[in-house]
Amino acid sequence: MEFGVVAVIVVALAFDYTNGFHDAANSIATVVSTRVLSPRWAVTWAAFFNFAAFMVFGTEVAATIANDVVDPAGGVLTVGVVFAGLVGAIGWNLTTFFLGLPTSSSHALVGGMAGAAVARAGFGVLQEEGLRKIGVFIILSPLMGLALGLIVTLVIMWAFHKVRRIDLLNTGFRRGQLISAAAFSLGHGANDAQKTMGVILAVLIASGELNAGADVPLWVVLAAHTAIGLGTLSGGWRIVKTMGSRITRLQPVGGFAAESASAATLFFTSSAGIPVSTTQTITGAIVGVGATRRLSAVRWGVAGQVVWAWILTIPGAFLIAWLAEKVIRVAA
Amino acid sequence: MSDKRLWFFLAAGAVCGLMVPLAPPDLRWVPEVTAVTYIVLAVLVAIDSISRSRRSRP
Repeated sequence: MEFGVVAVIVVALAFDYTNGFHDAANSIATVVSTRVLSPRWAVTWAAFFNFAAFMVFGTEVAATIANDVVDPAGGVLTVGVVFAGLVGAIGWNLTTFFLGLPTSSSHALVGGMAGAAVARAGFGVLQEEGLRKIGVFIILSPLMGLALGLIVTLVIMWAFHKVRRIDLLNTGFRRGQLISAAAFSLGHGANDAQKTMGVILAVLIASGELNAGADVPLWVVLAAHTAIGLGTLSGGWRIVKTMGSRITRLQPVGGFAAESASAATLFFTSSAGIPVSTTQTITGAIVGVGATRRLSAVRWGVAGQVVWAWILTIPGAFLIAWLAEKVIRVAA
Repeated sequence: MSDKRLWFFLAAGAVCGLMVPLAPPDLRWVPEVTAVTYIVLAVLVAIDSISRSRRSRP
């Protein structure tokens, strides 16, 4: 294996790691804000299920990233282009991390890959159908999370409306949140680790190490899940604070509903090979839980700030990757 | 209708409806189901709002 290929794989795993401390922290936000687990135990719990996801889900999302963003048969996806795409995604992730803004690593990755490929060969290399599928679910995934979050909360309210001891109910759902947080972390690990697998698969195909259409090797699957798990263990507290308490105040019942709704959305999208943002999904679900009371229970200023970060993610990562590709080509 | 959720759900349903022709054919049912869900939620909020306003009349 060439040095360049190894370097890109290392950078891809570093991206997965940044995804861990950036996005994965969101998966524990509701558990921490409802005080079900201490931050230390919450990250350990989430990291374990991020890693365990490889035993449950396939590699459909990885195939979408490797084949459906840029035409793999066009010869555009070289080692340098994949590297520039990663530089764009990581650059954008770090910028938003230091600003304390939630963003989407998946959209940063898609924007980065597209930006680097366009810098190399123009807009014609982009896969319209694949990008349309990803684009539609950028908008749909938070709306699916919102609707499910609201429905799960309504079902719980209906099922337990005769319970007068709210403290007992909360105790029950505190325990339930351990399961819902685990499910969400499982879905998060499945969807986000696979994006890195897709990048590594693309670079292995580009370098001739694998044939086009090859499956993701097991060592790639294990490496990606390990990297995201370690990233989760290392924190991301600024974003936990934004997601867990500033959008709406959550009780254990609400935390359980938000995580269950997000987990269901992530299970579905991962199985269908659709890369989505875990941040968007959990935000939608938290808003859905808040909307069962009234819309004013949701702090729309923060939710709006999050939406702006989403809107800027693809163009921001696209631009950084575009510049990185130009610099790499001049340097080479 | 004073409940803002009605307009929010209708808007969300409309956005999902707009996604139907853009979605890949095999996944078109997802925006369809989500749009219908939001319309049903909007109808439920409207019924709730009407019954509340009737109850509060002297």
